Amino acid sequence: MLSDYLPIVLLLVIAAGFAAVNLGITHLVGPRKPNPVKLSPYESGVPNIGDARLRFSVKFYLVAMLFIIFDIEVVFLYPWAVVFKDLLAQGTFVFTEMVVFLGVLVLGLAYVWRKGGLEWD
Amino acid sequence: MDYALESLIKIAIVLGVIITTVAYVVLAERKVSAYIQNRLGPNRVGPWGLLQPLADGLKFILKEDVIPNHVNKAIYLIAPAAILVPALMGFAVVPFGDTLMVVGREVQLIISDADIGVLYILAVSSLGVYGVVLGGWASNNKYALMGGVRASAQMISYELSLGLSLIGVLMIAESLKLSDVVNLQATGTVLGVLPAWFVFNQPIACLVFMVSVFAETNRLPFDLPEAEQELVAGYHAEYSSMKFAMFFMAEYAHMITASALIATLFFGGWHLPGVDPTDSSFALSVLKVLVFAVKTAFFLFVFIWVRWTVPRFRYDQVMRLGWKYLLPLALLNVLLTGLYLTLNR
Amino acid sequence: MAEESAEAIETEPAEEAPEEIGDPAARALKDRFPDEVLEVSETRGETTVVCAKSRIRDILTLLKDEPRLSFDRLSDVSAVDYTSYPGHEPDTPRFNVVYNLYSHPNNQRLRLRAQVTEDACTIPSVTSIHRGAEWAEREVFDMFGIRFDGHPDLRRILMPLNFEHYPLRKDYPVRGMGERDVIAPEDPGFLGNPYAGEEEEVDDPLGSERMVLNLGPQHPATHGTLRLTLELDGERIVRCIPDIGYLHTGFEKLGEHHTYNQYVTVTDRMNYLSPLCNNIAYSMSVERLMDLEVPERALYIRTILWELSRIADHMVWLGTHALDIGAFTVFLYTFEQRERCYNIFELVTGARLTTSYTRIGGLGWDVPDNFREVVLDFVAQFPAAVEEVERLLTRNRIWIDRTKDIGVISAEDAINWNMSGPMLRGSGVEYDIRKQEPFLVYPDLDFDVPVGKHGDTYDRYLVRMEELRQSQRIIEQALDKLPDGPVKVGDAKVILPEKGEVDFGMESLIHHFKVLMDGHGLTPELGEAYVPTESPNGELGFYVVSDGTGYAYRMRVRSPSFMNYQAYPQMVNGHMISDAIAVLGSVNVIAGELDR
Repeated sequence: MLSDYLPIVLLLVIAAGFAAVNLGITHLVGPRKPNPVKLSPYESGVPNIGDARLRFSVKFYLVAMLFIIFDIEVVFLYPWAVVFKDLLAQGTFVFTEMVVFLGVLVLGLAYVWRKGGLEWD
Repeated sequence: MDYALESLIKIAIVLGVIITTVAYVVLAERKVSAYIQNRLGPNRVGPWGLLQPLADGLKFILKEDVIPNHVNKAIYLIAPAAILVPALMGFAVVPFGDTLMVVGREVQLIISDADIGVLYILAVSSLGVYGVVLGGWASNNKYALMGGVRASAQMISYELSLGLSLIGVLMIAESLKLSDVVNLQATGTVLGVLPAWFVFNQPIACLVFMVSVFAETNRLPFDLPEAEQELVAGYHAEYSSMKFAMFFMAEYAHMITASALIATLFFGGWHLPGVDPTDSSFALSVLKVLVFAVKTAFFLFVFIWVRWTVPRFRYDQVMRLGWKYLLPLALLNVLLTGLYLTLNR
Repeated sequence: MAEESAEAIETEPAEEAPEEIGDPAARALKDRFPDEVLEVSETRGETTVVCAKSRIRDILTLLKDEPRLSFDRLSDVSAVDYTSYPGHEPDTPRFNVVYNLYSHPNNQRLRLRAQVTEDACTIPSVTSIHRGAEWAEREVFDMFGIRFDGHPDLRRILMPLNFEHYPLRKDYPVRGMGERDVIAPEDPGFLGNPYAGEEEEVDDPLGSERMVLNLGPQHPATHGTLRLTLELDGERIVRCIPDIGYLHTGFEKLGEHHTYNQYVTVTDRMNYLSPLCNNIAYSMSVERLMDLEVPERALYIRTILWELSRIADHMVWLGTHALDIGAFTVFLYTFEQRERCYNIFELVTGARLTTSYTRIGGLGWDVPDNFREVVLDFVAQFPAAVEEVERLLTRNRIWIDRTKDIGVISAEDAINWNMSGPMLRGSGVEYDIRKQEPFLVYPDLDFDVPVGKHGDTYDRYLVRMEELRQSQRIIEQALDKLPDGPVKVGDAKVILPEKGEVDFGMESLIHHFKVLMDGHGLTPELGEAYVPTESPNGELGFYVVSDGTGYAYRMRVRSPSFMNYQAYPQMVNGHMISDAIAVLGSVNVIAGELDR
């Protein structure tokens, strides 16, 4: 029912308002005594060497790509899981289907694992 | 209109309770850790330190709001909100009781009993990681950047098993509605003696879910994005006053939702064995809310207990745990559940 | 000319002919390098060879490679400025660079002094033979301005990079030359960027960049103030350059300006986790210099306090190590035990940290009557506390994952890098000065020396945990054997008389006056002494050179942290930041002792 989502929208508005109040309140109430050292980035108390805006090496990007693939597979499982019992009433073929689908998933995982796709360090 | 008003009242109560609980979970954390460590913990503000959260909150509000001049300001300001709002919204679909008769109306004790409750909660709670990553990047601080990168590394490690662990539960419950999941647990037994809680007929799922949810809330042993001894404060290193407090609140609000979810999905929600689940007298309805609160409080305690007991993982180790242990376990659980249901159809 | 100069600064009596040299190493040197070896002396069980600087590399190579000698560890490199030493002539070499060698196979020590003139203020670096000489040579350069030819990285190490003088030279005043008013820490030259001048050539505009990160001095995991400049590829450490000296206090210079008993108070501040060990180690060196026989009761009390200090020190190590890996609770458990140790120290010395308990020739005063019960109480409850921590960590999967195969250093490397104490034993080298070169009453006590196998962080953890149990054994035995008797030597020229006697006795009053009067009381003869000891972190020793006055002429502190820490970059290269923190915890660097 669409009306189920009305409270969620209300909650979103209220939560966002709460966050906005929090963001603003110290701005109004808190003291302000800025100085150059306070406003500089923290790096263990010594002058920085370079800054953080660089092409940072993200070693696990391969795992991140695998994640997207597997995550989509998991989403496919959700509707199927909900109707699993219903379909079972019509015969056990749904279980075979599931084994095949999961089998493909496991095969993929095993392949990636064997190939060292999960080792990135 | 009545429906909207009823919702508003429920939202106000729930948000109020969550925010107060956040404050007191912080105090509880300090007290429990103190007792674990042979200390007393805060005991100066009010009796047994009970007013400590108030003092903390006031302090945060009155602190100087330092916005360093090297940050990407728009994103820097959005990040705390981007983590706090999803953390507060997660609770919307969790049934915190059965129904309650109030001034002649039967009120369902849940903000929104949406059809896709489980999907909603998974979706909303995983949004929190954006706040972490954005905050870490916008700060233009090396430690914060690494915290943000670690957060994303962690997300891709546990999210799969988190989602997969629930498949088995859904196969039995045949619904994504959390109220249905609870109602199912309130009826019948497992092996004739135990209540039909999913912890008993989906133990693997329960284990995988609990571990993953610890990782999602960034609690030790998975607190890598902020790892004090390594990244100082990680993604929130450059945040001060109330903005820092928002990260803090979000973490604890997240913990509350996670505890409530563990209680709801695997420990029968408001169900107390021996109490007739269909009886909706006023006293029993209140009792059910209390039962739910006690279960949630217990898992909050587990969160605290674990934090003060174990050391921290390294982030490639979290990934190894997620992909090489939890994911195969979760897949196995789906297979076993399917096999069981097929054999017993 | 070199021969003459040796004559001039000769400190020991009577030059001996080669055939009279008892020490095989010194004899071999004299045979092989007749022109370079200028003089050999054997006093107080220590052999010193004075030589010319030109072939110092050959000499050290011979000493290391000759199987009969195998001086495989260069325990320390320091220097002495002889400008105002009695008998020093203006035209003789001003400096001696002092090499302190140890042979593991033969359990022998040898001291080499190479002469360096002020005009040609250089000497060949020996880092190619002993890598562990790297930081010590840098320190000599920093403090004396002696340049080491062929040193891989000859920069100042303790003083700011833009400092202009050489503080341990005799012509540098103890109060400084007004640098404090001039030096501005904001000056980029003050700290320096160790990567400055290295322009990274980017041949792949889409490739990732290396991040240079300052970890410390203000960082939760650098207990004390250390700075690591890490070059990172992702979170992997490609290069690590430690920067130390943030807590440099000039303890060595202070040694030349305090009387021998005054300096005890300075030693408290070195390793501030186990100050009593510093007190005792320092006193032992001076006592050897003065040939004092300390009464047995004092030795036993020193031993008990030494082991209690080891427990206190290891407790801080364990707590902070666990804390760095995220196990916060362990920290508070161990600090409770440390508090109990400190209660005992307070009972005995009157202070918890600044103990200053020893005097040259014994102890300040005897322990209180309930000492035995108090220590026994502590020892009785201690095993349970260790057991509790072990249950939290030793078989904890996360702990093992975080420490096993992390920061590995092989036995050979550990010796070459001049490591000592638990660092060395973790790599499987069974070297414990309490066994090999016994001091205090350790020969009378029964204890085991635990050693590791792989030299990783986990092994070092296990070694230290076992040492805690052994310390407890030692304390129990020493308490049983604790004899009665005085706690100071009977020599009225060394030890202050009791206050009561001073008030009423003429003789005591005179003694009191003379002991305290400049140049009359504690005045060792000309000479030098070094007593190695097994402090909680490794070899701790004070190399004291006396010029016959009441003040040390040169006070060199061979501190374990300084030597253990220099191999750190090698241990963490290729690991991640989290591992670097774990390894830092296992090295247990104590900044006060590191920077002195």
